[in-house]
Amino acid sequence: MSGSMHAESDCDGTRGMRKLLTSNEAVAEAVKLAKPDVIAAYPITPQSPIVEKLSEMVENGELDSRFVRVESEHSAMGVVIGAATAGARVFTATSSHGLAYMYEMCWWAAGSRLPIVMALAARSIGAPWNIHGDHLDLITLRDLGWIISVAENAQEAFDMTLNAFLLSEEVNIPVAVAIDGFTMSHTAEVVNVRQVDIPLRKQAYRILPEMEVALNAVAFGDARMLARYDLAKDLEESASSIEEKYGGLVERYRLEDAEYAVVVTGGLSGDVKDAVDMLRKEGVKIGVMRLRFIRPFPRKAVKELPSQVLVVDRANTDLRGVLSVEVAACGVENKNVVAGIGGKYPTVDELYSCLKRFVDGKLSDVEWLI
Amino acid sequence: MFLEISIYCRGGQGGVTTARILAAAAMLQGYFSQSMPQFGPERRGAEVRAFLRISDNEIRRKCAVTDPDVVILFDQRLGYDGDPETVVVNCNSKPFNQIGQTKVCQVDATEIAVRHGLVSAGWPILGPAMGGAAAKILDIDYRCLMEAIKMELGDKAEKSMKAAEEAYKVVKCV
Repeated sequence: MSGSMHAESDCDGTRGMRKLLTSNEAVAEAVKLAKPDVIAAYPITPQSPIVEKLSEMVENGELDSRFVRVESEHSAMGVVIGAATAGARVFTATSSHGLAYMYEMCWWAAGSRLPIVMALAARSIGAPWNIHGDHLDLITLRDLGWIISVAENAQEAFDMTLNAFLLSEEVNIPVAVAIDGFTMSHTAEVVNVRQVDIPLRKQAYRILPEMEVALNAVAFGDARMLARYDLAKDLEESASSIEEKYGGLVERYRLEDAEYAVVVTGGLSGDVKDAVDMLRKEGVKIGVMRLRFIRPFPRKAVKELPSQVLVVDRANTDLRGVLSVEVAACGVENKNVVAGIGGKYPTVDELYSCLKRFVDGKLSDVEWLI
Repeated sequence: MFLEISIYCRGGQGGVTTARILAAAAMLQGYFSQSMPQFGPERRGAEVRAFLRISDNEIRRKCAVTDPDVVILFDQRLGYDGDPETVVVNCNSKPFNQIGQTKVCQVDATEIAVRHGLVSAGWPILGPAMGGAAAKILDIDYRCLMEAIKMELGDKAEKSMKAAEEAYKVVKCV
């Protein structure tokens, strides 16, 4: 080690606004820049530091938002739905059982076509009790009509959160930004904190208390179905905005000449990339397609994958992982590994062995890395 | 350069904060760094681990450190995993038995903490002294370390800076 560290004379490694932030803190920094009018949240591990930080910012005057303390996540989503309906820019955050408790209102948020940004520190849902990370909570959001982005690291947690406000307000669809519980939410990394001014909230409609309007009245006949169709179509079409302005639905890592591809999402993608680099050194033509968004689902990109595909999932539906089923629904046959449930996080060496067996044709159709 | 470091401590001794301060110091020095607490039963006195990575390049992996280059051991009674090149240990007035070829660096962090008034609920807060000693071994610039302590601890930094400074100077390797 000695002599390997070069001292910078001025200890000025914060140049260009480099900060050491957990993904929770990175989300809070981005929310601060977005200046939401209303924040409502209920604390739950591992999300709590996001709203703790935001409430501090409101308390010390750094952030001019109305912070509404609520008695449950169901009410937190209720508050941001009400505020967004009145034209306010809004933010909330939750995890796991909190999301489960909020679930009904998440449907109302999507169906009402409201711009809402929610951070989700993805965590296992009991039973048995577990506070650690996986995507079992995240995947319950899948069918509601939300846009769902999944960050790989604290930098992306920052960028995606900031972009989520713009995207949500552009397409009038709520946007979730997922960060992995603990391995991201509580892991501090170097983040470039951009100082940007983002435009004021765009508003398709605005309903204020004095207006005599009934919102989301009973919709029989074709009205309900049309509303659902419009949401599905707009969700699908949001892909073009995401590709154009918000970093794209997927990241392609070493895929140009790849014969083998690993599909993965979230923080685990970083570990998978390290394992892929080990195989590349051995001459194996393997790459990674990292899903930055799982709604809209990047079908076009998935269909372009090479013929040998392994999907690494952190949530299952039956024995198979959820993303594996989604990839198969694009007509792409794949091997599947379910890993990292309840924080049983694989090491890079374990991922390397797993990928090696995949390349050698020795991996079963579905395997759980237990 | 890519260094992986494991901190073994007890809840309340300041190990998690030490990982973060060392990561901040490495960042200030121009490196990429990552600090990662291992969460479990966070009770005072229970074994707690924290990990630290320092690299020339972006750090992508988020898995636990299982084969550290350096171990920072706050309490000799706690064991550690892997086969590190270096162990920075709180000798607490008793020498640490060297294992194999491992380089052992000792500092009496308990004595330094108590002398600087770093005690909470009767427990010496060992983080500043252990962090100071480890920073020296990791070739972290002294000024970056001090800056990082200020950045992370704010108003409460003064005693910690003094304890870290002393440990940085007196740590001895055999």
